[in-house]
Amino acid sequence: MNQNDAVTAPSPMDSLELDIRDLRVEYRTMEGTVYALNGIDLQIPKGRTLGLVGETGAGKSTTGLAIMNLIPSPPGVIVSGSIFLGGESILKKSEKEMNLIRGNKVSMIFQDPMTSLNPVVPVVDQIMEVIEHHEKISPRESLPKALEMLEMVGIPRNRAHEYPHQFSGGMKQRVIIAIALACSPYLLIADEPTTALDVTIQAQVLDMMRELRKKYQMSMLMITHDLGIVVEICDLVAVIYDGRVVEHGTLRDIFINTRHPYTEGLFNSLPDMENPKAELKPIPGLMPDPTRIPTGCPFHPRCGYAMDICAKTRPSRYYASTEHYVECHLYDEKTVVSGGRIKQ
Amino acid sequence: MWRFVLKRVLTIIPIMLGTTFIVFSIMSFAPGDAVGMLAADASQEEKAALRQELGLDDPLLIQYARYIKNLLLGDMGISYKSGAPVTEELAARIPYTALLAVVASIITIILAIPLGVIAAIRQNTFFDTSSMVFCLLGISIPPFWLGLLLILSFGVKLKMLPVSGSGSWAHLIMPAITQSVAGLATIARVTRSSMLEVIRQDYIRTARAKGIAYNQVIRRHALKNSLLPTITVAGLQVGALLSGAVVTETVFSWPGIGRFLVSSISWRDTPCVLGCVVIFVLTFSIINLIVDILYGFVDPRIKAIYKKA
Amino acid sequence: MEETTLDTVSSATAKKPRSQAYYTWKRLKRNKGSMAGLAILTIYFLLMLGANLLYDYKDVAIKQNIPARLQAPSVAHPFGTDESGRDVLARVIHGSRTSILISVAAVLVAMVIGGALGAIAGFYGERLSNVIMRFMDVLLAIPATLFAIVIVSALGTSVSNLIIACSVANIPKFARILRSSVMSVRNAEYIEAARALGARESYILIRHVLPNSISPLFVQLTITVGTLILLLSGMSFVGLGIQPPTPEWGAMLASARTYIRNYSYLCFFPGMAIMLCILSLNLLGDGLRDALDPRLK
Repeated sequence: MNQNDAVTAPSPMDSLELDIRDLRVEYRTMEGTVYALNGIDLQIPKGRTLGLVGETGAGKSTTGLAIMNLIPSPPGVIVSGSIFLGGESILKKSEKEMNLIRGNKVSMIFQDPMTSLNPVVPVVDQIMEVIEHHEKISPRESLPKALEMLEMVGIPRNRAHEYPHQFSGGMKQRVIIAIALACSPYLLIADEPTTALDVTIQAQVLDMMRELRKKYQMSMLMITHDLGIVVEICDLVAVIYDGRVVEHGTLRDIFINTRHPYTEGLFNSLPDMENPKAELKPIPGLMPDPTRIPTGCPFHPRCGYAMDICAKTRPSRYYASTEHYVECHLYDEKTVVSGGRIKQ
Repeated sequence: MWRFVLKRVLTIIPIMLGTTFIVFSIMSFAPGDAVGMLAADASQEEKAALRQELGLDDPLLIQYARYIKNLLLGDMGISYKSGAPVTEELAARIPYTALLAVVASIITIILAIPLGVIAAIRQNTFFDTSSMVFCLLGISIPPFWLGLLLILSFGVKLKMLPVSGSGSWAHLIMPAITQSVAGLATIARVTRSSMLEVIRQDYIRTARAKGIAYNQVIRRHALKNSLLPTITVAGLQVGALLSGAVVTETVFSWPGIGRFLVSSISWRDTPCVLGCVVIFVLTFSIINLIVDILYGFVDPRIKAIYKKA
Repeated sequence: MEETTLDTVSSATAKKPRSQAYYTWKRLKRNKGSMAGLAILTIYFLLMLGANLLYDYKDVAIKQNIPARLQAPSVAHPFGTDESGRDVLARVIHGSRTSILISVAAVLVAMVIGGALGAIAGFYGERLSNVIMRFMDVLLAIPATLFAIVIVSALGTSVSNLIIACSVANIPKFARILRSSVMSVRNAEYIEAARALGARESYILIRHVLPNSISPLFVQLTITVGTLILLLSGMSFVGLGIQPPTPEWGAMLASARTYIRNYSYLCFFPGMAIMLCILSLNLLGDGLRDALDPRLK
């Protein structure tokens, strides 16, 4: 009954780096309202990494931008909910106060390194800018720090004064990481940081990020659709569908004690290394049109286990453990623990 | 970098030769025969001899080569109408056209860029809407009509400004406004739309994610990027401004090259027509050259392409 | 139960995928400025067609009527009469035929020639492209107005010469636009696919590349008509375009200029006619560009 209390009580506010409650975000355009986030809940304990997994359009990037308070407005509107970062309410901050937090307490790495750097400014200047802004120091003082950051992400000093177009995609992403980490943030939001990169470069960048995370002792929100990245880098996983967390748990919970049919579908659509001849089972259909969300459980039109009730009411949250929960009508308070499904 | 500049300077030579050749060959169809104009009373034999002497029976290319050779030596022929060297006729008028063009360009640039930038960052506000309505009217109003309206209101009705001629700063005001409005409106529109494009770019979001205030992000990151298309259009607008001189100078009886071109055409004074056009075309090429070089200095990507080439 | 499912299926199939043009038009319709521009242009078009029904060309627009000269606007002559006693409204309406027909003809010539050159330059190899585009660069290095003036001063001011003068200077613009548009489409994967299926190059160009790269041309078309009306009236104003007594807006303003002190209304209506026409074309052109490129809103 009071599962909500059960999960928050043992983890007091001050041990959470990020705490998002019931966040709703809409994009109101001429073509209609897009319901991007529909009451999302996310908590990241200090020093842990949460993987935010879902398909394109599930609301992953919107979540990241909301934490930065950078949702483009118009058309974006934060309808309700709260975001606490290190105990401070982000949504109550003025723009001026936010400018002291962004890039300093929380940083974000964006998806496409090719377009995320200013093409007419040398890369080192783009790092110096964030250091000068937050540490209130002169260019002369910030230059050595920026060079140090570049070296840390594996870019030699002698290339510091080159322009972004002279760098490869992987190097650009390293520069962006250097910008994000330059002021040692408490929380790093990485929005598909490796999607645009070659597979071999992906591994290098991921390794580097994992090491830097350890070095800086920061918390991380890893936004991705790639379950392989989740295994490599995350402690906790939140699977989101249609702007809502449908299953949440530790790596082990999600990968071994999978509960939600959608999570199951995500795994089934990956090739199985042990049985390479097994047929892939992609999830049928597409994400619902975010301007017209289905009633009940938003996943029911694509769900192989859908029952009558699924089209009518939204499932409530059932807890298998304090960290592992699922929103699905296949379970109740008891069966969710064992994994037995109702009416299967 | 300087090697690139030099290379770029060299590339305008074929352009200049090409444009002057096109103009020269079209003008060879022009009515008005040099011999008929210079020696109207001469006998047929004398005329034929003079044709021979002037090389008017030579093939077009030879005549063109001779023209270019003389042009380089500072000789553009003799005006049929006045009998004076074309270069002298032009030299008397260039300062007027140049003065008008410079003042109009300054007005254009000083007003257009801030107008476009502010309209973009305040998109959909009253300022944006009203300045874009102004710009739309600016690109739609025929300059000669604008000139007439200015003469009518400030010259005839209010009697604040002289209606035509030259000689004082007051004479300059209405022609300069007339000549700058279209360019101003065009450049402001281009600046606004390129600024709108730039502020949606990912690197603007990156800069915002650093915690830099929005106004500073605009100044440090958006401005330079958004000015790239503006520079190109500004270069083209200078060309439009030069040809606009033809109309503006006629409206205000301004003693520049544009008005001289029109009167030379009606006198069938081909050497003068050719001289005016050549001056305009060469100026336009040089301005485009400067724009291109400027572009290279502003955008490192273009600079890199030039360096490779 | 059975029926409802059938119903939903049929309604789903009834919603056919619409063409690109349909969606462009739908977006354009929402743009109030464009619709106003289109409405005004329609009025111009109707006046142009019905000019002779409203006012006889020879008897009203051309024939001098000295006793009735320089009359201020009245019920009989809503725009007044000019220095030769002709009705200004009649001349403005007949003037629309001159200006619009010449400009449209010149634009079409420029679009066809420039478009063809651009498509060829963009689609076929480097070498041909270089030759064509270098030539276009040279043409483009001559300011359009000046180019037109040169042509007219050499060849004379007949209507066909004016069409040539107005079109030649605009050929390079169309060539450039279509070339870059074709080049961006040329390497698209559906072109590769057509090639892989063994389609001939010319077939690919006409059937696949052009339809997908032609839309920027329409925007340029709309805007160029406006530019040319401006160019033509400007040339007529300085005496290098349409010659009196043929009614043309710029030429009318040139003769009105003499009477600016005492008969200023003469300066007003022809200028207004030019400006409204160009304004409408620009409104339409802007809307068209936005509708074709919904990303920029």
